[in-house]
Amino acid sequence: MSATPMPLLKGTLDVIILRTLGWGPAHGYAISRWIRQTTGEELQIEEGALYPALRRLEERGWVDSSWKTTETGRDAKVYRLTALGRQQLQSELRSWTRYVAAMTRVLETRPAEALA
Amino acid sequence: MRPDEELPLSRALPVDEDVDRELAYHLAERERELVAQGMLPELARAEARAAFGDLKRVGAECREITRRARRAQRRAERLEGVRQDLVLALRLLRKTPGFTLAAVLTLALGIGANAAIFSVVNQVLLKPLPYEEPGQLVDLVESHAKGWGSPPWANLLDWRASARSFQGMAGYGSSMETALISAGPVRIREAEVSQDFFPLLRVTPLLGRLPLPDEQRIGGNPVAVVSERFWRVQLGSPSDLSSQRIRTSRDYQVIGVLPPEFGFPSNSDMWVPLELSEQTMSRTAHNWSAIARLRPGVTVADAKRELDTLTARLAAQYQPDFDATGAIVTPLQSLLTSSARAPLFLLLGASALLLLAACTNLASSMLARGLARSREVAVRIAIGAGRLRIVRQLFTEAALLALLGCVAGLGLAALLLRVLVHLAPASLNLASVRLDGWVLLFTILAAMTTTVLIGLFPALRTSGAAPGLALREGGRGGQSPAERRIWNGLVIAEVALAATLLSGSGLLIRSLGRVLEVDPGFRESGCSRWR
Repeated sequence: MSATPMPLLKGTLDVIILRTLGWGPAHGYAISRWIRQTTGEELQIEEGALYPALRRLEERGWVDSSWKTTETGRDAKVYRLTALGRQQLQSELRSWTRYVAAMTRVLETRPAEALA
Repeated sequence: MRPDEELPLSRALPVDEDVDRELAYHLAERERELVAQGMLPELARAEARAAFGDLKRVGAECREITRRARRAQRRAERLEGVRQDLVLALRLLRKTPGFTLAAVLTLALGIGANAAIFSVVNQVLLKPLPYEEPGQLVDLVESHAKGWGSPPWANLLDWRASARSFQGMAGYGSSMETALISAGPVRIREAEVSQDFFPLLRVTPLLGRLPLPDEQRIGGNPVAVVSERFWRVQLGSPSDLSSQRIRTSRDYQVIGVLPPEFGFPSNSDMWVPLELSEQTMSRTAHNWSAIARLRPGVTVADAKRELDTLTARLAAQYQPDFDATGAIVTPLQSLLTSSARAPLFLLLGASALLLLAACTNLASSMLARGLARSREVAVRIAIGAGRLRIVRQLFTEAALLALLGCVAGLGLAALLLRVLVHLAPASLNLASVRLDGWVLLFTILAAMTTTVLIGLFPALRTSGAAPGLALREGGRGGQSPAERRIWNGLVIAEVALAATLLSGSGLLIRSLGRVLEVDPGFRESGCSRWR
């Protein structure tokens, strides 16, 4: 594995957030921790960038939020996917899967004979 | 507190606090996690800050996004509120079609009559004459020992020759004639005008030319100018006038077309030189009307004094065959509208009263409805509807009614205007009256005032009542059938009243026309045919 983390592609953070919230409501820190753990620190995300992204998703109506008291007794702002957000997640997942599959095919297929 | 329980302020947390608390929570949790992994607290804090990035920039960005989102949401909620009000108002109006119809009709009558009459008043009284410097134009008649009379041609010539107060003075007369044109015989209004007439009114022809001095003498070549309407409707808008002839008492060659707004006197169709006919030099033949244009700076009183002096001199010279004692000088504008002024203002007043009556009637029947609905309102207040919300709802209902009334009223106004124009005498020059922007504004203002009158009064009355009381009162069913019958009767009576007032107005205009058209008899220029 490469030692330097990769910069994030534009728009990728939104998909990651939607995917994370797809598992259930979560506050910002939980999302941040989840991303850090699942990407194995492979993606270079400034933790602060998460919060404007969350608010933008809320503005578009894909998530909504409310202040709740966590198990540790502290107040946290918890985000939740809306029905609209769930639809968006589905369509993003489909296009990402197709994109990755296409990229993989291009990058891994060896031509049977010389191209030219 | 259960973990899932929402904080009471969850929705209303101010933007700054919302952002600060969220970001602070993140930093604190991150720090705790690092400490739990064995990091020194001071190091953990620094590490958490470093991993977060630019705290200030992120905070600012968050605040901006959330402020924008909340503004948009508030706007959407307001719009949705208005939509809900409208839908509810429509449903309520549809549920009581009788009330709605009566209300809209009442409003339409009030607004329609107002708009139509205001259009007429605007045209007749408020708009200046369509001539240059209309304030200088005056009408001249002689004062007699008993009443007044039109000036004889001989006196008019002497006045014109000697008076210093005027830039010009002209005699004229008009009558209905049967004329022969290439298309066949037509009835037209023919005006005979003296040579000063067109220069004095400062008219330039739309097409062709005005009569020359050589055509304004006995034995001159008979020529005529025609109105734009006559040229268009009867002659078919020919650009070459050389083959156009009109035969009345003479066979006139058409030489010019006047601009569309020019119709003086009495919306004439054709103007011919008065000087073609020989005029009697009698000092008591009151054949002609006269107009003049004052010199700049000369007042009506100055002009009258000068003509009085001149007339006294003529009287001394020609007694006993002389009956004038002086002159009456009247600004043309007020003369043309004087007899119409009082009745028109009367009409305007009457229609304003009508609108007022319509408003009060609507307000009382809406109040009755409001009382009947007090139970519903009380229930809504009891389950937490804001007072403002209820006022807004009732206001929307009234505004919707006003809007419907306004639309119907404008339609009615257009119709009424056509009737008024049809009924009005030609001398009022109403042919060009149309509903203009001012009238529209006036009507909308009237409708808005009506809305405020209707909407707010019952709204405040209803929502002001203590809910508990209204609930108990409302329990009895609000309005008894007898009460309802009384209110319905009131509405019907009001519509009947409005219709009566309207037909009265029409009659008034008609009598007004009669008043304007009955002349002393010697004004019409029939005399040349009777010699």
